[in-house]
Amino acid sequence: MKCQTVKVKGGLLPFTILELLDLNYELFESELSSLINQMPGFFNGAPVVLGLEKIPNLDGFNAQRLFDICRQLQLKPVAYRGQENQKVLVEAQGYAFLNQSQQRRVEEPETPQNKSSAQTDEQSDAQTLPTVPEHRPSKVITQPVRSGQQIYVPAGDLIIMSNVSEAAEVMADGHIHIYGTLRGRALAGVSGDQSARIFCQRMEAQLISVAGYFKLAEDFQNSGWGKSMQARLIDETLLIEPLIS
Amino acid sequence: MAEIIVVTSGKGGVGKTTTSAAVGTGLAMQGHKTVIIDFDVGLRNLDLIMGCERRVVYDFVNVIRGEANINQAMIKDKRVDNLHILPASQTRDKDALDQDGVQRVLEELAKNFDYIICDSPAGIEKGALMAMYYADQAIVVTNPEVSSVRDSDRILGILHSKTRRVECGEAPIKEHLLLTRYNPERVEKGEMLAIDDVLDILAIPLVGVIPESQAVLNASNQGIPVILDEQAEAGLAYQDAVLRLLGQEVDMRFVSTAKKGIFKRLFAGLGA
Repeated sequence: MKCQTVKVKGGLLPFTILELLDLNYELFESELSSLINQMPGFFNGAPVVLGLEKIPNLDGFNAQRLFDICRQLQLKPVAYRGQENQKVLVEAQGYAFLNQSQQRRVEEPETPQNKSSAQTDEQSDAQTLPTVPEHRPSKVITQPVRSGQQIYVPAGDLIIMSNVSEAAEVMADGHIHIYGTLRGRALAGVSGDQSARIFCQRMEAQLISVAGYFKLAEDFQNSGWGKSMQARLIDETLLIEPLIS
Repeated sequence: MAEIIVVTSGKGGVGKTTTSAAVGTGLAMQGHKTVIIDFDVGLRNLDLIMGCERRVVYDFVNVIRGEANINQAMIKDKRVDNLHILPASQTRDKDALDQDGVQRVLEELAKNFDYIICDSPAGIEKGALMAMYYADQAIVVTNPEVSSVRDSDRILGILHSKTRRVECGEAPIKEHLLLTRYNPERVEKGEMLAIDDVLDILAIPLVGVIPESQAVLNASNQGIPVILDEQAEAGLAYQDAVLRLLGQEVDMRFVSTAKKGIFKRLFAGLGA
């Protein structure tokens, strides 16, 4: 059957997982709140999955209350994750439950051995039909990233339409594009993707890193400083070269 | 409804209290009912700059704690109509400020005033966060040197994340950059950042440039807001900044050495 309004697709959608260590609601709220205050850019409205696997005893478990706490802190909780035996309790309260072992299987295609995205898509199509859209979420920032701010995009690209100030830090598992001046630190491919790159309109960075290989300002300030540059990794060497050669 | 303006900077000693006193006085001179609140609990200075240190009976913390009402604590300025000062407590610390208490006082003041100027303490801790939380506008006071600019950048980030307007999803705080202690000669020699360098980094609209001037120190020592000194470039520059804050277009003065040269020659000719 050919549908006009809907198409079934599988895919990988990375979530931040908040792994619960104890069922103390008040403490959870205050600790989560201070975590968010420490890294506002990282959590900013992020969808999260709540992990229950570290809590063997779910007596007095209140799914609604945990979700409410997350929402109050501007997070978007989408599901619980845990062990098979916790599933009944969570689903009985009307919430989605991801099995931890199933989750791991979904994560497998992400490993570097089979990084080709086409391949990944095919595999996950085959394995996990009922999951979520295949699009990797990029993040677009239109405001200046100020000194002391930190932005991290898990499993996606980061696009910044403004400046990144000195002592600010921008990170992504994918590429980083900066259409202003980069004066702070930029770290692409932070989960190990060596094909990630950093593009910037005006390079005055304090630190540039791709997949953990980094260079400091003093290493490259004599070439291309203040110009449009890109950084990429070739044979474990970080190259910083003109955007258009 | 009153407009709440926070005067902030991150770094200390850049001219926040001088600016609060000058801008508050300037707004009152333009006919707007204005109150200046000193948020620097424990390090009270505004009363000195405003020359009313001998008239402090009750303070901001007394009002927050219900030990005095606002009218008992506010000091009416003797020089300018429409101008009041709410001094900080010198014997307490910043923990005496709480969000609900600050909100109550601001709501009470908003009934009777057009502008509420919040003179923030330095730093990014509780006192500074309280001063900015309810603001509608922010004047970010910056000196043309790298550490001040970086601290202002940090404060701008906090204005974008830890204020009521952000938390309630309302329109963001209107930000203004005020560059103080600007010395065009030193800029020319490369000893100071130029206006454009600072604007390039901070990327917010410029509301004024106050030239470095002995008159500022003299005014502080005498307890007279420098904006009342019509002879001083710094006083005139603050007057311009207040007009810009009110939405008027005014050309920047005292920002290049050429003009300064003319002034100097004039003064020399007058034997001053």
